[in-house]
Amino acid sequence: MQKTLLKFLVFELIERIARFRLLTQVAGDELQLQSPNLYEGLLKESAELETLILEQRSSLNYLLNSTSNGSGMASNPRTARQDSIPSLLQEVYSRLCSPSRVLTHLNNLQVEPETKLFLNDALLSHGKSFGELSVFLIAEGDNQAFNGLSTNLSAPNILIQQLPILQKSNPLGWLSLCETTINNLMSSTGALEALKQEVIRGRAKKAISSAQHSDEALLEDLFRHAIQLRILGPAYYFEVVAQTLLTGSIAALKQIESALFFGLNHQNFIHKSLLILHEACERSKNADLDAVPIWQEDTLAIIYRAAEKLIPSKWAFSEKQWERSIQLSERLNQGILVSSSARHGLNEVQEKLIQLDFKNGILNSQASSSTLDIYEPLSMMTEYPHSPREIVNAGWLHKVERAPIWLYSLLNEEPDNGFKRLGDLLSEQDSLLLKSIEVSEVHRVLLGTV
Amino acid sequence: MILNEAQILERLVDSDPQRRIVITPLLKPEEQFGPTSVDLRLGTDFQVMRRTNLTHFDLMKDPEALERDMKQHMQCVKVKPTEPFVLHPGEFALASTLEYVKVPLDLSARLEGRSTWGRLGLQIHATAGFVDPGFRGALTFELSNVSNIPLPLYPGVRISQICFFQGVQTNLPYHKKRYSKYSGKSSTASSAFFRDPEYSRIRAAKEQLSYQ
Repeated sequence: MQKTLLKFLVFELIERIARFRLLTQVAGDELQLQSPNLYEGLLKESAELETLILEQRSSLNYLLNSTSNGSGMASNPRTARQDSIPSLLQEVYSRLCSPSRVLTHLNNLQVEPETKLFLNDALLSHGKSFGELSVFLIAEGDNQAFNGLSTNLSAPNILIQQLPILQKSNPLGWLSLCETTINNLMSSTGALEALKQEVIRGRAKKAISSAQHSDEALLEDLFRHAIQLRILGPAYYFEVVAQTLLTGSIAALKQIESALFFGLNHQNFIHKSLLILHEACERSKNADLDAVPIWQEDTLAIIYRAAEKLIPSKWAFSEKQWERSIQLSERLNQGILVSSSARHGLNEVQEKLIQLDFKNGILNSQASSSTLDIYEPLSMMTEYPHSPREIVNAGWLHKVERAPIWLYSLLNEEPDNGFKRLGDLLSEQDSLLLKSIEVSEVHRVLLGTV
Repeated sequence: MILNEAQILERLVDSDPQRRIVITPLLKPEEQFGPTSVDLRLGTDFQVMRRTNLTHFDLMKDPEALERDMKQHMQCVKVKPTEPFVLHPGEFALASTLEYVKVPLDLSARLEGRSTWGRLGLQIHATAGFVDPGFRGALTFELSNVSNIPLPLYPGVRISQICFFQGVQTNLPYHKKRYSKYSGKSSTASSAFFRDPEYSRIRAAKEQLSYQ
């Protein structure tokens, strides 16, 4: 596996392990009341998962710090053993999934109220009514938890969104929450059928002349991804790559990633972190497994146009919002709340103060302005709230940029205390993002723009 | 020297990040700025002490056990932006500012109540209104209602004001200070008294004396 992708996968996994320990500790009192042995067992499980990762420290360090970028490192006997690391990581991930089930049954671990604010922004803030949005916590990797519900419980106006428990307090893990609603939207509006007809009838007819059932399923999948990318922005790209790497479907990654990257370009979402990840995915592709003809650019363009038709610009995550997220990610690096920002730059306010002849808090006695003119630069400092989607996109950028540093620190500087330290950092990041989402809502209420 | 409104504004837009005051969000600066202060707002999360099964905190327990006791007896309450937190007469609750505040190293600050709320009997801190140079995070309110009517407190309401004092740059910024306990918190933080090193010294001395 390509180095950048491996780094991404390792970080996603260690993040989940650290979150497992964090949640176990948060629910510690309740668990101890129910069964002290169960609590001990969960802590032991978490410690063993950490050890499984730390045992691979030297191999991981070798892989992550090697200069080779390709996937052909197996020619060296030392790296041959290390090539088994991705599958080992996936094994660790599978092992993590089952104990996380226990946590879903605890009273102390509930869906954060900010989750609804995020969903309202992503799905309801544009006047579209979908019915009730209910969020339920599920075990990690258990996406089938609510499959097979009776017709009374799977009516179109009951939308059950599933949230993996390990992502409970992590807004960056909430992007998959929209999936049920998007599925519903795709089928209820007939958009999926229309797309299929267009692809079959249209320019891409030749390309899918030998279309199999699996191609249709993939078309549906790509359409779903295109819609979510349009609503949620580039954060969705990061989330899909992370989840696909963790579940080990590299073949799926190859097909989906390039289609999503096409969508990023289509919507002018540009950033070096997106490009680096895309290039890593490209380099990890095997020539003979490259995109099959159906996913040629003209077909992808049809899919993204269909998504644009279904999700109007007013509802979509815009290029401007992405630019704001990029700026916000810099503030997150400094640990500053990102609920809002001023429309005027600091230098514009400085210039205004100079223009009014204020210096060191005093108005020049010769100045023509009045002391009450201070209200003008003050009003320039007025801040406007950011949407939860902007905050989540900023958070993903921040995480992607910080992850290599946190990973290096865990593997090299403080292995004994590394997972605890990582847990603290993740906890701080979660609090900052949650508080930003919450404060932006208070801000909107006070502005009367909810 | 206390900073006036223009000096505070100059510091908010200072090109040097080390000298810059950060107060965010600033919803309505024209309303929030006074001659020497900036009004701050109430956040959404509160903490109240659950007393039904608490007699006292045994300060001689080890810090981990005390931390567990504190967590067990502090009830966190989060209110929606349109819902009030009702503080009853004689009650005490912890809360925090809606704003994130960063104080540069050459300034210190004081958090004070607003007279509008003081006249209704709301005290916003018991004794800890001083903000160290280098502090960053949400500021904690120690709310108490000394009137005889319940006070409904809505998030986003301006209940306090902060003023800044010019000093000489400190070598011990709050976030780097040994034993600093509340730096960088973005929401309400309860007391971490059990981390004060005095208790471990008293515990050790007590243990030693019991052997003699």
